[in-house]
Parts: sequence; C-alpha cells; structure tokens
Amino acid sequence: MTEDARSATLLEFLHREVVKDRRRPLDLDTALVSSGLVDSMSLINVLAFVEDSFGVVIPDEAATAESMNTPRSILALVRAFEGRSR
Amino acid sequence: MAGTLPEPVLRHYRRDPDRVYVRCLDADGSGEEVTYRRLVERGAQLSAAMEGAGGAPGGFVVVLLPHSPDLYCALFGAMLGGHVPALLPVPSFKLDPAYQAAELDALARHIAAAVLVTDAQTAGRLDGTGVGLSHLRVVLCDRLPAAAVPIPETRASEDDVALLQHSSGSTGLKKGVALTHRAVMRQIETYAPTLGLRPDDHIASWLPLYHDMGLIACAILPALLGVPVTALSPFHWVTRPAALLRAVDRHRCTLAWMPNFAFEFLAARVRDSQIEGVSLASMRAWINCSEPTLAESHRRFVRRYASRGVRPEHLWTCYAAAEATFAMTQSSDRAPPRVEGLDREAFIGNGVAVPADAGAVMEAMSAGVPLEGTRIRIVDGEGQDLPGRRIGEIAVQSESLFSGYFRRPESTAAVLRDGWYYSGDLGYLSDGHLFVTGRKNDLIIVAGRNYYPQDIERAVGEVRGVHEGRVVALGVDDPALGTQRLVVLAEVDDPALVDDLDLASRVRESVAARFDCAIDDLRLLPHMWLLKTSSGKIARAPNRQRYLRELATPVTNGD
Repeated sequence: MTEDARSATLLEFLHREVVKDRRRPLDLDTALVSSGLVDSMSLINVLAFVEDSFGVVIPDEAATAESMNTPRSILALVRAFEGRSR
Repeated sequence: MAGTLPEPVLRHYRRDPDRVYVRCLDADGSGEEVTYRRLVERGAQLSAAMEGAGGAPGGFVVVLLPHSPDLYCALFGAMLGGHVPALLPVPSFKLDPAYQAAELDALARHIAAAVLVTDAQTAGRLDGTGVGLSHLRVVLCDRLPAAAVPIPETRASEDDVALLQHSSGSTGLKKGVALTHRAVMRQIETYAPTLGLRPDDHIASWLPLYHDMGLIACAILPALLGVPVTALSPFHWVTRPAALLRAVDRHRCTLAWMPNFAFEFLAARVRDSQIEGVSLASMRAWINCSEPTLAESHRRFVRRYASRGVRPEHLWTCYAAAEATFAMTQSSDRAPPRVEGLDREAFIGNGVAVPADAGAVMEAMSAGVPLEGTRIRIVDGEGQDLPGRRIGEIAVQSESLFSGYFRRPESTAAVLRDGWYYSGDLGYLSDGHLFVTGRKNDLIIVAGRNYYPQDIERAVGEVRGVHEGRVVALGVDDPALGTQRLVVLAEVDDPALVDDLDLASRVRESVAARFDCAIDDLRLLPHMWLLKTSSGKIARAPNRQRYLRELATPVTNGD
C-alpha cells in the first residue's frame, strides 16, 4: 500500500469509527487525544486497525496516547515497526 | 495490628529485607523490583531529602511521580519520616500544564505543603508555565542517586493524619480526605480476613496510586501484610490491556481490583493473539469496585475468559469510598455476588426494590456484606432509617472513617455527622447484603473516575461563544461500555454557532485539557433550549430527560 493510500485508509477509519464528532474534517495533523476528539480507551481500536490493515506489529512500549496523538504520528509508528513480527 | 503504617513495613525490612514488595512492570514487559530493603532504605533517603528541603514532621508533602519504584519509596519514605504524603496525578501530555500548575499551586497552599517530590520531566513541564510554585521546595527523585542514610525513627502517633487522598472537587479545588494511621490500620485489619488473604497471594494492578483503590488495596495493604504486587502503569494498560493478563500468568497472580468498565474492556478488546498460552487459573478474585457494578459485565468477562480458568465465583464485588479509607462491603469466595431482578416500575416510581422475574425487570448486583466493625444504614432525606428493600442514601459508620476533608469544615459537616458518613450513594439492604443503585447527586463516573458536573459545566461555560451559566454536563449509562458516557449540553450566544465546528473543538479541548476526559456527545444548542426549574435554575434531571427523549441516539460512535 502506498503512503497516500495508507493515509486515506487511516483517516477514513478514524472518521468512521473513532472520532466523537464526525462533522469535523480530519487531516493528518488533527490532534486526536489532546483535542478530546478521541478518548484514550479508543486507542486500542486504532492499534488493532492499523496492525491488521497494514500488517505491522507495534510493540507495547511504543503505543502510547502521546505517540498516537495525530494520524501522522500513527503512520510514523507504522513505518517505524514495519517488517517486524510478533 | 496497632501503631503507625511504617511499623509493619519496618518489621518486614528487618526480618526479610529481600522479599519483593512490588514489581514495577515497564511497557516492554521487563520489571524493576522494589524489595523491603529498597522501600525502606530509598524511602529513608527520600525522607531525608524532604526534610532537607524544609519539610517538617507532620507537614504535608506533595508527591507527583509516574509509575515507578520511587513512587512507592516516596509514599512510605514520607511516612517513615513523619511527613504526610498527598499523591496527585502526574500531568499527562493531554492536560494543559498551566491549569495543572495553578491547581497544584492552590492545593499546596491550602494544605500548606512545603515540599514537592517529583522528577525532572514533570518539574520541567510545570516550570514552563510561569505559574509561581516558588513556595514549594522541589525534590527531584531522578537527580538523587541512591545513598545510605540512617532510617528515621517514626515520629507520628496513631491519631495523626497518615495521608491525604484527593478526590475531584466541586469548587475547582480538590478535597483532601484526611485519614489517620489508626483508620487505615483498622481497614487493613478488617479487610484482610474478609479477603481471606494468604501468604501465597499476589496482587496484579494497573491502578494509579492517587485513587483509593490503587493506594489502599494495591499499595498500602500489600506493604503492611507482605503480599507482593505486580504493577503496570495505567497509561500503558489503556492501550495494551493484555499486558495485565500476561502478568497474571507469568507471576501467578491471585487478586486484582478494577472498576466495572475494565471488565468490559478486557472482555471486548483483548485479542487471542495477544494472550497465546496465557492462563488466568491462578486468580482467585477479580474485585469489581469504584463504579456501579453490572452483572452483565461479569457474565461477559466469564464467557470471554472461562477457557482460561475464570469462573463466576472468582468475580467479587466491593463497595468502597476514600472517606471510609476504602472498602465498606465485600462479597466473598463462597458464592458469586447475588443478583436480583427488580420490578422497574416499583423501583423508579416508589423507590422500592421489589423482586420480579417477568415484565419490566432491571438487575441489581450485591456489593456483598459489611466488613467487620462497619455498620450500614439506609436513610431518607431527613436521615431517618428506611426499612429493608427501600432505596435511600447509604450511611456508614466504622473505625476507618476519615477525620474530615482537610481544612474544609463545611464540606466535612455536609457528609460527616455524629460519626456517620453520608455517602451520597443510593442503595438498599436485603438480607444483610448491600445493593448500590445510583447517586443522590449528579456525580459523573467514567471508567472509575469521578467528575463533578459543575466543574465541567464551569469549564465549558468559560469557552468563548458558549452562553455562560447555561451548560449541563451529564453522565449517561452505557451498558455496553460498562460505565458512563460524558454528555455536554451547551447553549450558544449566537444561533449561528450551533453548527460551529471550531466552537465545538474549543469546548472539547477545554474539557480534555482540564479533566483528561473526552466528551462523548457534545450538543451546541440555541439559547433557551435548556429547561429551567420553577425557581429559574437550570437543573440536570429535566434536561437529562429531554436529552434522552429528543437528542440521544442508540448508536454510539467509537466502539
């Protein structure tokens, strides 16, 4: 999957399943957790989605609310751990 | 067991210094152990640093540390030197540091704390805000390499305040629940036999220590009784709950305390691939406590983990409050907590819990029976006893009650009268079992954390564009999540603003930044939408009804 396709897939998922205000447009730099748009308990759904969709395993210690605060930072996590297996 | 809290810890230290008290797990699964030697010797060193920074015996020390060995050492170190610790949450990246610093400043002044024990990162976060914390001398744990110092002689007496627990506060300033050594000791003394604690017990926890469940059940009780703890960071747990189950398996844990939502969260969010080969058969009690407990959450948890060794009788319930140190009632291993089907109409219309098995039935789950030495009454609005099965306010008397909210005589007098604590919780008694059914006030409980609606309403009312004073914050039960969802109804100044996405963002952000909590459903409404009472006040109950009737949708986003 290209980087653009990934971005689109992630944004679409966040918009459809996770954010608490669907009227609000999302971009790669939208703050998710610190803006109150996503609660920290939903981050686990985001993790499950990116791990399944992009075939990547993000180690426990890397997956924090801070490292997942924007779509861009989530994609950076995906890139950082590509090619690793559980 | 008499005396002060450090005494049993010192006994463990002298008899068996290498015994493990707590294993602090890092996110990668590695762990750092705190033995009784480390707890006492590092604690003594931190205590000396507190004293060196101007902390006088009997004075308050604010502890602001993340999940780490030093958090436990600072807690007991403070008490070892006769200081009184007040543990507060570390400001997370989500929170507005200036707001946190201002709140900390006000709180430290209120309790006349002289010393702040923290780490360099947290201090840096607060320092950059320009809020003056200059009256606090700071001890930075991570800049204090281990060194041997003499172990202080305990200077507190049984009736001195041992610690302050802070709950969220309705005045913007948190209320400090003052507990004496005697009160906490009595709690441990009566709670341990209720739990049937054994030498081979082992507690698994992800709970923060600034909350009574983490502090009393998962830090103080185990330290006094020599029960080991394996602890994860709450921040880590929320993104990787499977880590708790792996820790249970690896360290053969037997006990855990969690709020109701965590049972649902573990049942729904952990994937089999994350717990391959994990057995939970070592666990004898998963104790559901600190928010309303749901029988359905227990059933889902048992269904999900039955194949891993979880049985219905392993799920216990407890009714607890910081004002009573912690536990007031507890179910036991003899049988799963009782579940009653109640006639919904009699419950809502007449305030009576009438057993029913057909028609409009609602479920109530027992929180067990009172601990030894704890008395419970159900009272009406005038404080008069109500008969069995009548729903009223839960009032409690025990030797573990708090001495008051520190320096808040009015708040104290409102709930502590003639030796009874009026909890604000509603419930009924049946055959000696306590069933908790709701709240007298509008306290919002999301994922085990309490929020006062007036705090949230004030914060939202301060956002430019919102009509000040015309905001309602509600906790709406969500059985699928096993907790409440935060709903905010806010009138706007200008009718055009009801669809203003920027205003909505500012409201969400102000709540997230102050309370570390996301609004689940935010409604910007035209002026005069909110209903008023006959006395002209905006009341929550009628607006809750109107919201549920006109606005709420059964579909929730985010799960």
